[in-house]
Amino acid sequence: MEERILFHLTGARSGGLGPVDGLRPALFARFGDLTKLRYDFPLVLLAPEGDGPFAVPLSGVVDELLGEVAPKGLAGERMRRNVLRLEREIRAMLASGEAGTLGALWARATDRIAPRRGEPFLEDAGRARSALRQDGQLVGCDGDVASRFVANVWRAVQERKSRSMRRTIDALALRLADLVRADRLRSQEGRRADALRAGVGTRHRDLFDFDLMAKLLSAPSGESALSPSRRERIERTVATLRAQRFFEADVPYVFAFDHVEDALAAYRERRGPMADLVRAMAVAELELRGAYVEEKHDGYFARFDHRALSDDDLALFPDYLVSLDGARADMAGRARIIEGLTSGAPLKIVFATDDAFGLGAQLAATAMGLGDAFVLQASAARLYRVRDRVRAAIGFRGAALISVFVPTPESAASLPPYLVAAAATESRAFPTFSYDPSAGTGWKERFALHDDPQPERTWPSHELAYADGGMQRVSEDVAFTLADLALCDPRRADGLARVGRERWDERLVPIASWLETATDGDVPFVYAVDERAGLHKVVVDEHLAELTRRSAQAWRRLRELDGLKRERADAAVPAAVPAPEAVAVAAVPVAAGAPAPAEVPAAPSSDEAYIETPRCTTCNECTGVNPRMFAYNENKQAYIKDLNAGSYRDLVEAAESCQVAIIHPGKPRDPNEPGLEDLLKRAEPFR
Amino acid sequence: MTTSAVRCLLRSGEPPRELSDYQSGVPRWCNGCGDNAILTAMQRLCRDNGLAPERTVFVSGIGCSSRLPHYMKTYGFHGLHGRALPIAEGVKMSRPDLDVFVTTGDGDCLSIGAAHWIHAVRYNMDLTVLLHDNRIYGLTKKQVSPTSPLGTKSNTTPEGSYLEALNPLTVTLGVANVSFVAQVVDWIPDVLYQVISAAYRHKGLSFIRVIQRCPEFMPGLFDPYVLDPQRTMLLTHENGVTPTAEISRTYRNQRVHDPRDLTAARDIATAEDPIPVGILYWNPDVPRYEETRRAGALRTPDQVRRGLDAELDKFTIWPDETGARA
Repeated sequence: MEERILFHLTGARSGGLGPVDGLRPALFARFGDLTKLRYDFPLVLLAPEGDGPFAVPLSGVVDELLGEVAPKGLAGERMRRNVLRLEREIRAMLASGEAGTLGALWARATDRIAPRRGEPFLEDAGRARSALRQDGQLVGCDGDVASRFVANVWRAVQERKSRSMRRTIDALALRLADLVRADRLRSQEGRRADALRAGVGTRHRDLFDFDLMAKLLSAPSGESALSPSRRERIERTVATLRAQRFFEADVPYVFAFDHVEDALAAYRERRGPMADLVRAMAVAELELRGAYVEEKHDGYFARFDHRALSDDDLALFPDYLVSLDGARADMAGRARIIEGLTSGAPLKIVFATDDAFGLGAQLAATAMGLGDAFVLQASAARLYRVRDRVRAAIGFRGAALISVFVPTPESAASLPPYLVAAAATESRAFPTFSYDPSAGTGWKERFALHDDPQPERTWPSHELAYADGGMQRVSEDVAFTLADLALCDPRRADGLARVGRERWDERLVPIASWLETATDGDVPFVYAVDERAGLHKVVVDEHLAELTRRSAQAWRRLRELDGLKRERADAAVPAAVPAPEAVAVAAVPVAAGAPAPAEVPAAPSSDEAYIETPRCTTCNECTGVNPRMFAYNENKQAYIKDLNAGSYRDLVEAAESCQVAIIHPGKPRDPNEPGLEDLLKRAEPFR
Repeated sequence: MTTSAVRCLLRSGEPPRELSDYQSGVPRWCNGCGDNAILTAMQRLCRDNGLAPERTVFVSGIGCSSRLPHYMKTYGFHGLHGRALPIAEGVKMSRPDLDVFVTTGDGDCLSIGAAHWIHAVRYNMDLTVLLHDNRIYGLTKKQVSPTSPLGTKSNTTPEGSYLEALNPLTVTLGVANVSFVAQVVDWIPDVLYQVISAAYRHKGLSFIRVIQRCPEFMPGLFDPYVLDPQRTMLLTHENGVTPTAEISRTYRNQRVHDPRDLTAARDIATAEDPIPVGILYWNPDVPRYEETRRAGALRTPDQVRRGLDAELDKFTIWPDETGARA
């Protein structure tokens, strides 16, 4: 059997087929050392204020800085060069494994460059540093970037929630304590000489005769406002409020975990104290309003436990962050995550995986099927671009899964992690999408793809230009597939084999075409380049080809879901043809934002007396004319209560006195009413 | 931040509220006075939102309009001339949990109270302000107010007034931090109610100018508008007024206006005929003074006492051995 076909079918290399060591996807040919490029990473993680940014790219910080301190034109050129040099050094330091805040790395990078560049550099770096106002940890596109990025938002949201709740709880406790205090001051005990003395303070204590004052005040003006049971309830409530451990407490609970099961156990254990705290808050509010009624409320609160907590109550409490960095995406791990997402606990699970081929890549799509959990998937390279979705996931009421592809040294060999992460998006292994159950009831509203490359195609394609055997420029459109991504991952090297140039023939078919229209004997391949930018063709084995096929199918499904949204948007475009009546009634130009036209009821016949009640201004004129005939409805607007309770004259007089002319007398009921001719004339304007 | 248990318990114990739960006494306004329509709209708002009377405050200054708190069965404060707004601000500052409404007139607010008006708009505290604008001092039997039309004959201007009327809308829309401005007329109660409801929901200072008839001292001033609906321009929008079918049947002169558009709002505010009616401007994102200025930490009575003692000690004259105590 021909060796290429043999490899494709069995994965066994023989003859002229070589390993793919040192090869990378051909489309990477132009990218080598990324430290010289300015892109989203590294990111500076900021302590956000309100809805302000929680991360900014280093390049963005530097650009803003230069805009501020470097003079325009040639005068600022030296400073621009020096600060950009510094930025490049910081990138290189991060790539080599150094870590720290922007401020710290800035200082270290300055020390490194200064010996080479001397005083002018130090001066520029110093000036720029003093204008640098944003600082925070720097993160590259690898390691624990996903959990740190998400944790930064999570922390800010929790702190804000915690601060606000602590204020509420303190205020309740304080005001309740005031009740007890006020009661004590007016009690017998509070009027004793020693209590009065303590109330005056030290400075003028000698001026008073407290014993005499105690005698004068000895008879309290009324009974205690607090019954023993109420006092006991208030004191118990204050104690519960002060002992809580959820919000800025002295001994606070921990809400960040590394395992789903630990987070779940903590949540379940704390449901009791949660219910106690909510009950205490509820009792406190009722007490402070003076609305606590023992016969009514004692029974309810005696049975109050975690089952009585509503979603609104749960949303007051902190969410549980679970960081699963480099977690194994085996079946058991996946089952635990699913359990976490369906438990009802507000877990925010950050799942960072370096496996773009296995179960890890499918986790987010699986979790979408649960229906109630917020799901966000992105590769690390896209994290910054979907920062608003990360914020939405953390702000979501309920469980959320944030699944991120983060390359590791095992999965990316010596390639820059950002490049591999970007390739994971490009190859459809890790498309960027979110599913937000709070956005609506259907897939259309809930699901969205976020800026995936060339979404209309199965695979994104790019021009690959190279020199052929005769040193002539040749270019062709090449799709970037899952099999191309496999070239980045040494653990997938077994599924690929290099074919010598002498064996390139028409039976070697690019994998994207092969998946569409393969005939017997065709073998799929992908382009690769070596370190010297030499072009190679690499055969893909059956297993990897199958994974590639499945990846294309999964992408098509996502696209279909996203297509629902577009279909709906398309459908909304054609303008509905208005019914002729509607046009006649609403002689109003229809513009964006116009409220939907309401259906118009027909006016009553002019023979019958009526009032346009919705236009009544409650001016008391008609009810003054005849209160039995005219009355006010539940909105205090007039209507004809009883037409027989008055004469046609009353109707006409009421119509004449009505300030807004909304009373229509119609035709007289009694043809023998005196002075009818005159009345009919007067009624004419109100027909 | 109220727990759902409290919301549920407070709701479940109470029967649905009625208009009469908010009515107090018989209004002493003249028959046909536009104040009646405003009062009814306020009572409907309270009923429909189930406002607890003990947690609702109406603050007023002086004038016919300022009698409104007397007719509401809620807390009220009939203040000094022109000072309704600072009083309401004080109430809101110390009790942000209360719903605070301000009723003021064109004389009260735009003349003696003008400084308070401008700064209240700038503070943007969560207050609902109703400017009853009948364009005359009615309680004191007819003197010109800042909004009286040029040439108005009154007790203070027997030859006719000399100044052009002030336009409260354009002024309000020019103040920094303005967040909600609307204009309504008392003779379209449905729209009046809709706008007051939107103003109540708005978190910030909502300023509503209610153009109001005074049949006693300015009779017939608005008759041409009342009797010819074409001279009223309804401002409609999905974020503003959505007129009912009956209103649309009568008031066909309508214009779609997005209340987020400040420039268009300022343009509309200058129009007088037809009278623009609806929400001119609405921006929910303007910061509120009571939030911006809220103390960072909760103050306990002990802290307050210590702080006060420390401050007062600075000014104490200590009696010496031969002094006061001798």
